Amino acid sequence: MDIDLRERLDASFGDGPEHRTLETRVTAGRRALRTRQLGVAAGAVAAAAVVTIGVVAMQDSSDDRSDKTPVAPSPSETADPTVLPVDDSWRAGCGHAGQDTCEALLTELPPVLILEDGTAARITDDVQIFQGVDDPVSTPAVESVAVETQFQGLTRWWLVSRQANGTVVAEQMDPALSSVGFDEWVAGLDDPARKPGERITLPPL
Amino acid sequence: MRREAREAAYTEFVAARQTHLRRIAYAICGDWAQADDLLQNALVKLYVAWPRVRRDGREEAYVRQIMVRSNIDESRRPWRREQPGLAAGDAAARTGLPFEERSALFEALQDLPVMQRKTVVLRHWLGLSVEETAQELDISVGTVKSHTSRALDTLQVALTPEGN
Repeated sequence: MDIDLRERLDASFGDGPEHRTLETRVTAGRRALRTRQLGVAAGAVAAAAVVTIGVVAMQDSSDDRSDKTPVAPSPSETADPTVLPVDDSWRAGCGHAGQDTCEALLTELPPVLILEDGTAARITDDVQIFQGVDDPVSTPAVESVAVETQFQGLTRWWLVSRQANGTVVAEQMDPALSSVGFDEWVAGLDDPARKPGERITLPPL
Repeated sequence: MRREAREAAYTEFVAARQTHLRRIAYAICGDWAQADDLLQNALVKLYVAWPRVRRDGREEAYVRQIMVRSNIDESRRPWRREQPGLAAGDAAARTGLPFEERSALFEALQDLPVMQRKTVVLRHWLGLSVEETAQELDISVGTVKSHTSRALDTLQVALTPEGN
């Protein structure tokens, strides 16, 4: 059997489904490299970050807004999807024996999650949110939020939803690749003919 | 290395080798979605380490080693990434082939304990030596030999038609 085992193994399965795009591969690599570089320079960056990191309270969610400086939230803005608390309970799934490092997991998770109580939260204080819409998906028993985020140097639109069974699904859109603005993208999220972007699915949190 | 040059070389490598590399991942985990995650994780690490790995000419070995040393226990990674068009739970989409089109040999391979499976993939599919396999898996030569021997015995039994 050993003589032809190599050929038999090679012929025992196919090539699988289509690959992710090369752009997706490169983008993920850039994010990881940036994270590592940020980690190396963390001490120097931390002082500056304190000044700039916060959450935007956007009264005007127009897409052509040029001023994207985040501002600190006030208590009266807590229902605004651009003002989200930080929840790092995801760290329970990393950094321990047999698990990925939290740094590695951070490069893969969506920057915003929806928690068990239905509230949305940022995965780290470094996530900036520029605009958002609460419950853009009208499907019953689904909690959702659409946000424009900046994280690890990347600006993305995210649709994050929590299904009735507790599964969290997130999909992202690169605004640079979109032919429409954020508001129009959000308005189209309910369209059953819509082609979804890359999705990340998490089990019940 | 300038970013443009780095990304051009990286992209060229990935485009040329990703199918082969993902098949390796699939052979050790038996699930295309998980294989894709294993490959993506390894490719991200490759991107970060690209100048050094490229200089040493070890791109493929580097990715393969990360994949085969990964703990492929599904429970360790709580999230799953999906590509557009792949319906969740669609077995044919997730495996790439209908279950019945995967050969009995592949199914027998998947039934092996994970380290036996890895040694068979490295030794008897990719053609690595015992020493290379030991280094790749970070285990001893003797352990490679014992894993391989047991695995081949099991495969032999599994693939021998009843009555022979």
